[in-house]
Amino acid sequence: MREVRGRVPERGHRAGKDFPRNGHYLYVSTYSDRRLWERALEGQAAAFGELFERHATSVYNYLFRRCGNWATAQDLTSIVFLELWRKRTDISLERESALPLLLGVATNVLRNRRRTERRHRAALERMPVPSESWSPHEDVVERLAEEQRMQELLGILGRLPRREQDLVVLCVWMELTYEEAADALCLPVGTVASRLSRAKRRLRGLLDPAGQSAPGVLKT
Amino acid sequence: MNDHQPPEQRAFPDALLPRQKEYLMSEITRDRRTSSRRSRSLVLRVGAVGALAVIVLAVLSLSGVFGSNGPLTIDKALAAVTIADGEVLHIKITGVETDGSTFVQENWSYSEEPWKYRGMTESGGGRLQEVAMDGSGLHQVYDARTNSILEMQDETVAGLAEPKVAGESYEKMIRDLLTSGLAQEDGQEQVGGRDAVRIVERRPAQEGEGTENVYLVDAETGRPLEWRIMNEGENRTLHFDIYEKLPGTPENLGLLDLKVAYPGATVYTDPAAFEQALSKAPAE
Repeated sequence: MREVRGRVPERGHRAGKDFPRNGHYLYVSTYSDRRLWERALEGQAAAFGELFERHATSVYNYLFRRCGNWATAQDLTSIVFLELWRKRTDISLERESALPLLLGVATNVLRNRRRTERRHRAALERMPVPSESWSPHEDVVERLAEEQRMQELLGILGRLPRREQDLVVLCVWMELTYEEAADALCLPVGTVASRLSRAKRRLRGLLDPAGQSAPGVLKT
Repeated sequence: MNDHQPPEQRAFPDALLPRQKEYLMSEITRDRRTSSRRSRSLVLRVGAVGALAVIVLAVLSLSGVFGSNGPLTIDKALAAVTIADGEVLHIKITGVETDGSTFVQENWSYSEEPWKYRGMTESGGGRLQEVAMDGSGLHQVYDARTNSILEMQDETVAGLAEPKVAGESYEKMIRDLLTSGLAQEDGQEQVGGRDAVRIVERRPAQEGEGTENVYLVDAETGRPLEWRIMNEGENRTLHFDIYEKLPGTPENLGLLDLKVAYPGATVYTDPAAFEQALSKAPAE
């Protein structure tokens, strides 16, 4: 007997359980993201706080994988959530998960970084200073090595058009499905598929011109 | 540069998370104070939603005392969501959300190696998404507006042990429900003219409202008929329009191939040509 694989995308019973998502586990409380979002819109700040707690790590890692700097990724994580809040009236969360939406906002934040930071200047000035218990120097050697490695990868990725870079990071490195990436970038799912396919072909040529091995950058 | 993989993910720093969260909440509160009139309206809405949820839960709690455990029915229900080697599972679900919006999802899956999957989702707006993939790395995307298919070989799909599609395995969630130890038989009712056994699972919440699952299966076969999910005041009903296990004949395996499903569709293997075709379609 085998495990059945029929699926219902983004719907169903998720109450109070740890569900695997994209290779790592996130705690999923009894509220769906959509419900939390609705509650946040109704004025319950705690609901937005829970969304932050749920997705801060994914947003943080997405930002790092786009900018190659942990400290910048940390600062921009809050900006992404502030930006989401600022645009709340224009946003309809159709999926149960807010992650595609957040990564879409993060993509725009990175693209318009100066403008976005200027827009949130007053709020950012109120941002708390890290407490003494937080040391940015922890794992500093490891972090620097990661940043160097990421910069090298981004150097290769940067040879692709920006719109293809977005899809490689979202679908390959962050493991979003085509449908989720389509939602994140407001694209038809077919466009996601074709652009990503073209991006992979180009990357293959850049990383392995002789075509002798499958480049790991394309593997999940 | 090792293997061209980005570094492993790091957790957002624990020492910063609570403060950042508190900060965001305060920003939202600050923002909301600037619009007091809207706030008053929203308070009323929250109150109404809360009251409605309390009424719904009260009615449900008065709807009857739980029956005794029904291992035979639960075993039968478990067997119905377990598939044998070489079978194609076909499911079609119509979902109804709390706000009355609906969605339809249909998928076919084949678990024999190499696995195959085809699935489509249609939301209330009529937006249709359809993909098919298999364990050999074949990946197809269908665009209904242009009646075209992009077919490509994708090594990221070939490397997967099972299809990567949005969401969770629905059968696994049913099995989790049935094996949670909280699921109990709770009488019978009619669903679509069939005798159905109610299997109820209630999970109390740490605070606020809890979760109740009412899972209805065919009294004779244990096949799923309906799943009513009441999660903290939010209701969702899933109707199983189709739930069938098909033999893995060539004809049935053809159901998992978009080219067979849409024989008149234009098939592209060049992504650029496919994208060009999409660009000529009317906007969604």
